[in-house]
Amino acid sequence: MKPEKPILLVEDDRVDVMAVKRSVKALNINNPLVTASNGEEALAYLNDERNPLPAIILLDINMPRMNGIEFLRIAKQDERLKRLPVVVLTTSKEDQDRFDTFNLGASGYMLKPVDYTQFVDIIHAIHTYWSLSETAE
Amino acid sequence: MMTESNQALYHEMLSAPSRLAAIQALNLVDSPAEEVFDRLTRLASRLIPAPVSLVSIVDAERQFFKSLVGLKEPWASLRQTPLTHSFCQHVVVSGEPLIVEDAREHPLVHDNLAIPDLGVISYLGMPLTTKQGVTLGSFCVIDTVARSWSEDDIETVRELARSVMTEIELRNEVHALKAANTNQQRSEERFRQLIETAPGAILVIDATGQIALANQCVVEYFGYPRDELMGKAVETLLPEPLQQAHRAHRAGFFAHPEARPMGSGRDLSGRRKDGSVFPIEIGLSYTTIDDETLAVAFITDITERKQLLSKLEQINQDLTDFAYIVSHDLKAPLRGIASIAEWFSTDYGAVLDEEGQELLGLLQTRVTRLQDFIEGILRYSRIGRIEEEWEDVDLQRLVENVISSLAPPEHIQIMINGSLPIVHGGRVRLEQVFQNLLSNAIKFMDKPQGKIEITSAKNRGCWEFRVADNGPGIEERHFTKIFQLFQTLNPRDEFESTGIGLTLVKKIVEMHGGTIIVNSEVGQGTAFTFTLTEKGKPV
Repeated sequence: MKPEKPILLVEDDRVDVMAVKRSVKALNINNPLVTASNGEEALAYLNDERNPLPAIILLDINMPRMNGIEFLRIAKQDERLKRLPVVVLTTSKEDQDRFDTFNLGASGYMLKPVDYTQFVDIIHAIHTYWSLSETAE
Repeated sequence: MMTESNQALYHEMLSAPSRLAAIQALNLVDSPAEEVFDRLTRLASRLIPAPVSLVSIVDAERQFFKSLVGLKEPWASLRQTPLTHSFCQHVVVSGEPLIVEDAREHPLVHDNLAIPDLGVISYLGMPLTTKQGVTLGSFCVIDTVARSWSEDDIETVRELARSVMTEIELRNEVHALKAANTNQQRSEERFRQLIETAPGAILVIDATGQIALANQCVVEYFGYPRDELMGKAVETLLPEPLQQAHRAHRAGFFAHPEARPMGSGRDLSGRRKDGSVFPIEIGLSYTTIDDETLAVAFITDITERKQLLSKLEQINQDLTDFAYIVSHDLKAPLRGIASIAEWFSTDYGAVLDEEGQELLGLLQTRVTRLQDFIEGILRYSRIGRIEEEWEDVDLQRLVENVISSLAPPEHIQIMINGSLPIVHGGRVRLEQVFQNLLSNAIKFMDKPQGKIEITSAKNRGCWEFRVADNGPGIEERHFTKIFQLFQTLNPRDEFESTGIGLTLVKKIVEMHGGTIIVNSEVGQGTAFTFTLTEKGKPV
């Protein structure tokens, strides 16, 4: 993961946002963290060509205005955005959400752990993986 | 001259109840004259010849003339006389013919009032006796002068008397037949009424598929007037798409008739005259009348039942959704609180004094408790709603697994005494039962050497299981309380407990058709005993 590229976090829960921020800091991840509180805001950020495209999108599912699945559907049809890796980070255990996520071509589906330490491990794993893996851009 | 003893004897014989009953049953007395009998008295009168001929029926008080020829008034109109005027009574009492050539000199009748009042001088009477031997009366010819009756006369009257009896008996048979017929008709009418007023629709269908009988309920269900239903092809009462298949089923049914519900597992519908469709349940039977096999269908309109079912399903679905939403929306902020409490502790723990740290600790345990609580509620609410397939469960292995997964501390020993049987039930549920009971026993164990024992015994067709420990015990006054939802006995800060576990155990045991009780002695230990039926009992 190119360290200058941002990580886009699409998440409405302030505490969950804090959890990601703290994890990123604790793990010494240097990528800037950009947050959008729902799908609409995320699209607005991405479509503004003055903003650099993120290295990875961390996507929550349950959000107001536009939820994660809707965002995913739109993003994966957008010529400019569809190759960006998206990892869903959610509390939802619904089979339907899992199905839709992969059906729409996301790269991962992680359940947010209750325990913060485990949460850090998740972020760590995502970061390690996407640092090892190449991306399209 | 009739002596007093004679009179008594006569009275006794004439009023014998069986005799009177026979007369009554034949409807001869006080009945109008009939041509059949009049023909015979006229014949007698002409043939002998004699001016008077009678068919006389003698009851206890009088003689009644079913038929008469040649009697003078007022007797002809009265059609009867008291016994004082009766020669025929002698025929009845003796059961033999009475032949009188001159009554004035006959010892039996010389003082009979028929002589002065009716002018009877000579008499020839034959008994009218039934096949059962009851003499009803007499068939006689009478003259107003003395006659020496010839053998021919006697034989003629005898033959004619036989004719009268034949006639009487024939009429009786016809009467009996008519009565039987009326009874049968009445009985049929009763059954017809039963079928007609039955609370469900009853259809009788012949082998060609035509309706042979339909009761009132059919009319109400399907909206056809009765005359339109008769002879109609039964398929007309079904929605179009089902008609073809039904013809095939019908043929199969008549080939191998049997009483059974129709279309088990399928949703059946009927079609009304106006084309509207409604859900029905059909039971089939058959009967054979006069070598013809007929199918009988009992139809119930289950519209209301279906509505209730669908309402029930809706409620069930609502509950599921509710439970999910509640647990999900409650969990989210809880996670938040837990995270914040932890970060607070990490970031500012060093700055807090002892009291501050204790407060933070309490906050964290409260959050965990709430999370467990919600999880427990979810589990409890799932019990009734989520169907589990029942199977044969090897309890020995199941309990061994539970014990090893609980990993009891070294000072607590869990033993299975004997071997546990295989029962039929829900594996996961049964696991929860033992899991809860054993983990409770471990959690509350207060002795340095903890002993938990599991036993089973067969008792009156059921399996009885006992989980006993040597823990702190429970006071008797709490015995029923502990099974109640959210009840705990210890302050929650001492032992983390949702208070749901035992309620869950009780519910699961009851779902399997069993019961659970607790026995305990404070300081000594506790034993939970529950039963499971061998075959289980799906609720």
